[in-house]
Amino acid sequence: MGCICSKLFLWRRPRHEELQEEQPKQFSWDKRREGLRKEDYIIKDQKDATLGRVPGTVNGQQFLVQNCENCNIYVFDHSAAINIDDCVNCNFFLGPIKSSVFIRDCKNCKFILSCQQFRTRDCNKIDIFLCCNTQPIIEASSGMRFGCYQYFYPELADHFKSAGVTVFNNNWGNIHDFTQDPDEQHFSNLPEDAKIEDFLSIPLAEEFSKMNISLDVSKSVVPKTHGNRRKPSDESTLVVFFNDGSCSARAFSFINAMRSSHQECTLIQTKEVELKPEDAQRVFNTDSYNNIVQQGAVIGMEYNGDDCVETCKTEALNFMKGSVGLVFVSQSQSEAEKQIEDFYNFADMQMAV
Amino acid sequence: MGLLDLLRKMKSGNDKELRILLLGLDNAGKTTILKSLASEDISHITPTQGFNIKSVQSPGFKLNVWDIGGQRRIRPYWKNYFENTDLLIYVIDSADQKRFEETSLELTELLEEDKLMGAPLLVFANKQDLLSAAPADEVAKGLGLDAIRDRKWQIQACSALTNEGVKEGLDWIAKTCKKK
Repeated sequence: MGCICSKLFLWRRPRHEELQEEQPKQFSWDKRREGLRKEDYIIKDQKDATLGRVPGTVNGQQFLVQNCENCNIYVFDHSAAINIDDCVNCNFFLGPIKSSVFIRDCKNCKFILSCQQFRTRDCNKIDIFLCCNTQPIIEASSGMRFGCYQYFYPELADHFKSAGVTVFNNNWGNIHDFTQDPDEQHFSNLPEDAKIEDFLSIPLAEEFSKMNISLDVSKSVVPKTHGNRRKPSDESTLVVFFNDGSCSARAFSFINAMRSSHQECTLIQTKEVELKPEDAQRVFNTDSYNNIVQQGAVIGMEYNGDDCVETCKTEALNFMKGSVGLVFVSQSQSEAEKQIEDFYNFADMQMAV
Repeated sequence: MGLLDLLRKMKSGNDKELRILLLGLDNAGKTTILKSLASEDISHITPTQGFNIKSVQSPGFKLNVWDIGGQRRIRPYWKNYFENTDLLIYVIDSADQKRFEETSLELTELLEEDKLMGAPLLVFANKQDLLSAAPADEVAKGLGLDAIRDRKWQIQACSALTNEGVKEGLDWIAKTCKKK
């Protein structure tokens, strides 16, 4: 049937019409590429080398890595998108990626990276310290291990902003596998005590000597979260910082204060999300926050641990002394449970699609 | 409500409805194009696990656009959506040289489907904002579009991210479907 049809159609004239009768339109990409050399934005066919890019040299463009072996590759800049293809035994640091990172046909590699979308296909034995603003997906990949992103260098926070990647919306532990196999789990969490420096060392090469990298957990631009590992306790609490222009800095100070004086409390997850007055009413079960939520996105954090409700209440009070910023803390364990559910259900709904 | 809105509302009752299928490999930018068509925010798009549907109003037409996930594992399900398709949009990541052959094979298979026979084809050569993007004429050549004899087709360079070229594609859809 198909065969006869294609023969019949052979004598017909192509019906494709040229639309371009008027002046060809100028698109922004015609200008964007001017003066840029493609070869500056690609690393390929390298072996046993340490190489990369320093801040300002990628500057929001696409970046490609192809066919490398036994290399340490550092991209200390933000980019539009990155594809990593056909690499073996390589370690990567990739600065914030505005859209997607796509890792394909790679084996025995380690990554520290942050992005809007994380995708892999046909990969094997990959470790990733990840900050991803949407649900990470893997396909036809196995031996994938994930942990929470940790990194600092002075320009990094600005690189996150330029790429539009939010440090509080990290879904590193919530993987979707397109090729689920009932007999084999293709992904797992990295050990909780996994240290970044054991996976990718700070580069010593001359060109990176001025980077001032720190792997100190309290300096990391992305807060370290527990993800979907089993929670240490049955007790959780919700802490929300409202937008007053500096809520991100305040949230970080709070996280650091909690880490240094209350190690029994674990930061499970964080989320930065915009709430409408009616959403605030539902989550907090009061209209007290209906006005302030209109000032911008709020940062919500779930803490877990025995007595964490009381601990966070006390710590938040200490923390807010002499400050005009507004913070919400669950007042009891029973309220906390519902508030966490309402807040994160709402946030996840906002994130979907 | 202004007079114009009123007229538009009265008119929209007679709009022709079109069922449009939006296909392409994973990471091609299908959902970003869908949201761009619907003038929605494109800054937090997640990889599609099933499908997304949107109704897009364009002058004289109501477009019901079906955006189906493109991972290799779920491509066999594309055929579940073929029925009654008025037009096929196929999205290419113009900056993904490694998979030009794969995307070309998938398109060839689609064009051989009985249920899609004769349906006009709009190819979006997407991601033109990326440095390594191939120009639309190169993509067309790689896909062998010139050999298509059994349907109307068009290739449109676009960047769903910067919202350029998408409207031009929409114009072609309107023009093509009016003549039908």
